[in-house]
Parts: sequence; structure tokens; C-alpha cells
Amino acid sequence: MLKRAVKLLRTNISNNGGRSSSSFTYFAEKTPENRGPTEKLNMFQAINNALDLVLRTDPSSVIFGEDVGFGGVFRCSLDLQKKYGKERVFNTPLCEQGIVGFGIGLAVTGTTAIAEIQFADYMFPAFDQIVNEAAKYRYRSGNLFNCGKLTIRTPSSAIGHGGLYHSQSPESYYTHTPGLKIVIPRGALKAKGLLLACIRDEDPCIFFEPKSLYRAATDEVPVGDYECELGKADILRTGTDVTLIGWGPQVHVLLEVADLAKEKLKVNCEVIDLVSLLPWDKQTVINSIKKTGKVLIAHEAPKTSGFGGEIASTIQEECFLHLEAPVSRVTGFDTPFPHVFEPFYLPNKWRCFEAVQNLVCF
Amino acid sequence: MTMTPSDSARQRFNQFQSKVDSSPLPSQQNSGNVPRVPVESSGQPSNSNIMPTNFSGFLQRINFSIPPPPLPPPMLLTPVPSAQPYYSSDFNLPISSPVRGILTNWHDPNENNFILEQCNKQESFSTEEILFNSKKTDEKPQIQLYKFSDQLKHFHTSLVKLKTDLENVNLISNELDLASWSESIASLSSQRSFSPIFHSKNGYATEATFEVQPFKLHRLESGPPTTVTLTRDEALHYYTQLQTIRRIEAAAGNLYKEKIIRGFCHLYSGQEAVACGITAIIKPEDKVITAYRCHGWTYLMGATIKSVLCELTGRKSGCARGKGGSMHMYARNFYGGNGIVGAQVPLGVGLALALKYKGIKGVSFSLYGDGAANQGQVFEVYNMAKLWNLPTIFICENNGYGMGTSAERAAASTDYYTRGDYIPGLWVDGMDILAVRSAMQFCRDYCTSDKGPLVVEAATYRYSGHSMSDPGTSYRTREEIQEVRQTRDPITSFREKILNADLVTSDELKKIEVDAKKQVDEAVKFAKLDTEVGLAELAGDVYSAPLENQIRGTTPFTNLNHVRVGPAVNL
Repeated sequence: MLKRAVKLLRTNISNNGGRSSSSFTYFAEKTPENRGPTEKLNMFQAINNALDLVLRTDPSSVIFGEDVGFGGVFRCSLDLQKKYGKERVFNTPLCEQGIVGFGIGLAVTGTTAIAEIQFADYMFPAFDQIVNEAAKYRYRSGNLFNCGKLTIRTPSSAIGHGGLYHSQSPESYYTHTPGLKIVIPRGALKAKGLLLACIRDEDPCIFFEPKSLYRAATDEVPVGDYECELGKADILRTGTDVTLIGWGPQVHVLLEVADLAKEKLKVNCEVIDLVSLLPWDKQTVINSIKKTGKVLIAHEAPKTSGFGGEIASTIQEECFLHLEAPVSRVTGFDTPFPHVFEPFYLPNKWRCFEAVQNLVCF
Repeated sequence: MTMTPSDSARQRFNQFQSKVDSSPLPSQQNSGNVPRVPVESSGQPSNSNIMPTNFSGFLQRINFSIPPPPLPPPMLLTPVPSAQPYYSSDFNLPISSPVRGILTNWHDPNENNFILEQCNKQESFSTEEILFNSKKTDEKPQIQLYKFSDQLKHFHTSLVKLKTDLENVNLISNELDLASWSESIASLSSQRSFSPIFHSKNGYATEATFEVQPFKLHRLESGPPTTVTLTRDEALHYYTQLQTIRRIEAAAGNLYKEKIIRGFCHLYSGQEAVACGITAIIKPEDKVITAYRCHGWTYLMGATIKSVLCELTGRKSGCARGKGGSMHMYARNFYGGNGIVGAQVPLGVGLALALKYKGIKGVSFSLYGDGAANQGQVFEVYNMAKLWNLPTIFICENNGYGMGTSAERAAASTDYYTRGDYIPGLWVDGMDILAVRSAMQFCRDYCTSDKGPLVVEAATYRYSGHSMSDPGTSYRTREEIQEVRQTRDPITSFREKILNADLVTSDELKKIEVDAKKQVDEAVKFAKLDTEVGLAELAGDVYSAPLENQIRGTTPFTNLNHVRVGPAVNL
């Protein structure tokens, strides 16, 4: 088996002229109705669009981070400096702790502070500022002060070849911190609505932007202003047999798995995008599992202390008597994010499909 | 270091001798297809049990050494452009051509089990092992133990100074005699100071002096000498290194464009003189740590070109078995590239404390960029280094741009050499290998004489973007890059210098260029064809000894067990 797996990896390499770059097929959003004109945007353009909108409508808003002046590594702030000036869109030195602390200071005076950390993997120097300062400002001051105007945007998750420090999904470090809101979009349309919601939310938010979606996720995105509700999960496909829960790019893997399961196993899967991890939509998940009795949770982060563990625990508390099989988790491995073995590490559709099969046959 | 050879030391030596006699050579031990994983931790050398513990540190540091054989008359030495030095151990002379074959396995990716050998090597090669090995133990050299503590120190300094000469000396000799060896060194040294030891060929000079750009000083009364002397051998050696790094980086850039190197790849082109200038004076007991622009450094610190390129392509002959990739490369005394901006600097200060604590007269070089100079942790360790007077040299490679932001727009003060405030500093032209070498020799002397840390700013330039995804032209003009290439290029300017001084011929340089290209081309070919490590290593070395052996989260059809790939080589 091992040999076959390695051979598979090699084939993958030779087929693509390099390591496989995408582990999923993107499922575009339905074009929304009643939201006015739309345009075809990928996720970085949609984020750029949202930031543009905020700068235009909120005179106190500023954007700062490493290299955001010329658009940032992923082009999310492209042309914004030209449009709104160096006073409102500016580069910072390379100092993550400083960026976040500075952002808290700005936000606490009522300024809309949008900080970019260039990669989620770089956010750890700022961990203290986020966890001890930002998250607890409101609480420790008895609500005299808060930094709700702070939003931290950061690219996260696998990209196909990022290696150790450009691929991690660190969301569950932050979900362990009451006072923060953690949001991860699954595509362009959601990204714009969620980012606008985060920026306007009254609590500090961390907005993880899966790197692999920046260019791969193209939707018809409304040109105007709209927000997507935070803390509300989306049911992307209704089903009666197995519930599949994911977020970010993993949602698209699960959609593919649902199709595969329908075709191969004649099983109807319900696919849920959790959208925000803190707070997370327990009710939607519970309702679904009460219906299906079987659940698979999939995420890129390692298994131990991954956010799937929190969901699984809640499910057994709330739906114990409805469960027909143990809660299943398909995740990254408990190893550092590997350099050449990324295709094995990621919870791809075959691993998820196998888990569905096991759930069905339990 | 006041100890003299004690009985226990003799005892250890005798044990060692008998071990050498009875056991096969290291190269033989590891031949054949030894299964790579798991390898148990080696622990202490077997004879350490009998050693009084208080001596073990001392002995590890100074490594028994025997007097090397008499030098052939200096006239016989023929200058050969030397390859990169191979350091035998923390306190031994750099090993080069004559005995290199024995050590080549360390980094030769042709050997399938080279890592294993590296890992199995419980003790680093010390001089006597090399001598024994090179003799194939047929005839035992006659050994005279001497006042080795002080004597060794003297030897060591002399030897390193004469590194290039020694490369051509046949170390294999039947009769070893300390007195004649000392005399040889003395005569050689004195000749070297005042007159060329090599007879010039075709009337070319063997030594030349150059003026380097003045240094800027911060809280220093005097700085490094601006008049520097360069020998013909050194010129050829440095030129080879500079050329090879430039070639490696060009190859890396191309491999990235071919999508064979994936992920993040930061090129050093333009900054070569900094690394080469530092390694020119580095001693085997010194430590180096740098950031993510580390391909050239890894090569200079002893890894082969192949192992650097294979690491970049993620193949098993890479210096970190393809598991680290571009930013994470390691070699002996080279504590790595590091992917997180500024994160390596505190580590470098830790290395310095270890040196001081163990009483080793070495220094640690912590390199970082002008971008990383703004990280808080850099200032945290400035304070620690000065507070505890640690032998560390902070080297800020100021290439003008922290990722896509120019130094002026990111730093309140761009005089990076003064930013240690209470730490003395100096500015050096980082495009001139001779200036860097002179500065570093000064800094090293300063730090090893217990005066505490220094902050050095090396003014340099990078031709490529910050990484491969950055074209490097959105925040600076193409003209600016062209101008630096034409006026300040570290290789071109060095080339002109040594040609004008008649130290070398253009034919010789041409040959070096062709050879470097050939070597790198071959390595590229190899790096493309080599394979990845087996899947089992995905679960390798997460812990030293995990309590839960099976990796969680893996697939049902590839259950992965935690494995140790090998013991660490840094300890």
C-alpha cells in the first residue's frame, strides 16, 4: 500500500510538472438574488472590493501590514494606496507583535483598524497581543474600553507547495480564546460579506483567508454592500444519511465527497460549512445530526486539539442518543506541515470518502 | 584551559587507539544497505563511562590531537584552488583535499546512506582519526604526546591561518615529529608575513594589498584595518566560492520557474560577498545562524552543491532530506536558515552563551536582514547579549528592502550598525568580500577577547525579488538594479581587483567559472532525478521519543508510526 501511495505521489508529480497545487475542485456559489448587479470576481478581488468599500464609506478606516502598500503578497489591497493615500493604506515594518498591538491601540480609540498579517504562520509573534490584549480588553476594563474595531486579516492553510511556514491552519489556537471571533470564508461571495461583517463587528475578529481560494474561487459577487451573518453555518447540500462538516477549502472537498457518495454508495450527505468557528453554529449542526445520526468532520489542521475535537464533543453531549456511529474526523496528521508530503497530509476527498464509507457501514 | 594531559586523558587516548585498531573504519562501518530507520539514539561514546565526568567536557572541547607530520619544503607546494573546507570537529583543523575522501561521505548525496553515516557518527572525526584512517592503519604513526593544551591552541591558530597551504600538504607521513612541525610552521609563517611563499608563475604576483572602503564606527575607538592583504590562493578560493553561489542561485531560480522547486525560494544573488567574507575568517569552533536566504551559506558551511539543490527540490539527498526545503537547510556549525523573520537572532545569542559557558573561544554569527532588524525580539536579545557580555556578532545584511518595503520607509534609523545603542557597531561595505573579511576578523578578535557583542551592518543588495513570487520591480526600478549590477557587483568588482593586481590570470578565472557551472549543472541534473524520502519519514522526528507511537490523524491505509531518522549531529 505504501509503495502504491508513493507511486501515486510520483505520478501526481510527473503529471503536473510539479507537486499537485490544488487539492479540491471549487464549487461556485449560486448568484444571489435581490442584491443588485454582480460581477465575476475571485476571492482576492472580492476582498479587495470589500476593503475598497470600507475605505470609501468609513472615513476612519485604515489598512496596514507588511507590504500592503503595493497590494500585499496576495494582491488583496491592490491599488488601495493609490486611491486612498499613504495615510490610510500603509506598509509597516516587519514586526507582527507591533502590528497587532498598534492595531489594538488604533481600534480602542474608535478607528476602524484593518491589520494584515502576511501569513497566518507569522502571527505567532503577535499571539500575546491577540490573546492577552485584544481578546480581553473589553472584559478587563469592565467594558470601559474595547478594541472591537480591530480586524486581523491573514492568509492561511495549504497552497500546494508552501512547506512548513506557509501552509498551517492555526485557527484552533485562537478558538481557545473567549473574546475573539474567528471566521473562515469558503469563496469569493462569502469572503466579501463576511469580511464586511467582521470589520463592522463590535469585537476583534480574525479573518483567515485560505490561500488556495484566492485565485481558484470565482463567484458572481454583488457590487454593492452586503454582510454575511457571523456565527451562522451554511447548509450547502441537504441530505438525510451523513452530515459532513468543514470550513474554508475543505467545504469543496466535502461537496465532492457528497457527490461521490451519492454516486458510489447511494448515500445522501448533508454538507455544512461552519463559516465561523468562534462563535460556531451549534444549532445547525445539532439539527442536522439529529436527522442523519452520522457525522464526519474534516479540517486541514492536525487532529489533536483541532477544532473538530470541540465539535465532536458537543455532538456527543447534545445528540448522544441520535448517533448511529462514532463521530468521525478526517484531518491533517499530527506532524509538522510537511514539505513534499502535502498531498498525503491533507484530508483529501479519498480519505473523506473512505470515512463516509466506514460511517455508512458501521 | 589550564589542564595538562592527565592520566585519564592518556587513558582515553589509549582506549581510543585500541578502538581504532580493533574497529573498522567509519567508512566501512556504514557501507551496505543499512536500514535507515529507526536508529537508536547513540548516547555517550562507549569509553565515557570510565571518564571522570568533570573531564569529559574539557576533552570534548579540545579533542586529543597528535602533532602533524613535517611539512614538505615550502617550495614544493603548488597552489591549487581549494574546495570548500571540511571541518573535522569543533576543535580541529579544516580538512581539505588530501584527506577529504574520508569525510566526503558526510555530504555526498551519491551515497544513499550518507545521512545515516552522518548520524551514526557518534564522535566527529578528530585529527588523529583522520590520520589513522588515511594511513589505513597499516603503519602506526609514532606519536608524541605533548603539552597539548596550550600547544594545541597555538597549532590551531597557526593551522587555520595556513589553511590554504595545508590543503596541499600531504598529511600522511610515517614519522611525526613535533619539533620539526613547529619549526616548519614558524618558518612558513615568517616567510608568509614578509614574502610570498609561492613562486610566481609567469611573473604573476602571489600576494597583493588593497584599500577597502572605510568602516563607520559606533562606540568603537578603532576599527578594522582598511589595508588588506590577499594571497593568490585566497583570491582563487574566494572567487570559486562567489561564483559557485551565484551559479547555485541562478540554478535555483530556473528550477523554480520550471516548477521543480516549489514553495518559497529566496535567492542570495548580490549578497555573496557577505557570506564569503565571514567564512573566510570563521573558525571551526564558531557558530552561524541566518535567515531564509541560506542556500549559499549552507554550501559554504560544508554541504555539497548537490545536497543544497536536492533540498530545494525536496529530494532525499537534500541536506535535510528534502524535509526542510528552501529556507531550512543545515550543516555542521550552521544552525540553519529560518523561515520566520527575525526568529533566528535570539537563537544566535543562545549559541553565544553556550560558547561562553563551555569556555570555548568561539563566536556566534547571527545574521538577519534590514527588515528583521525591526522585529522586537532582535532588541530583546541585544539587551541580553550586552548584559551578559556574550561573544556574538549581530550582522544586519542591509540589502535595502524588507520584502517589498525599502529600508527608509520601514526604519526610523537606517544606521543599523548603531541600533544596538549600547552595543558597539560598525558599518562595512557588504559588496566587497575583502572589506567584510577585514571587518569580521576585527569583530571576531574583539568578541573572543571577552569584550561582548558587536552589531555589524553590511551594506549589500539583492538582485532578485524578496522571494520568487516577487518580481522585485514594483518597489524599485529596473535601472537601480542594473546600476548596482554594473557598479557594485561583488563578483565583478572582486574579479577586476584580483586581475588588476596580477594575482590571477583571466584564464584561471575562466576555468573557475566553467568548473562552477559544470558542477552546478551536474547537481541540477541530479536534483531533478533524485527521489523523495519514503513516506515513513513523514512521521519521522516529530519527537525524540513520543509516548504515543502512532501518529494521529493518518489514513487507515497508511498507518504511520513515529520513527527516529537518526541522532542529532549538532550535539
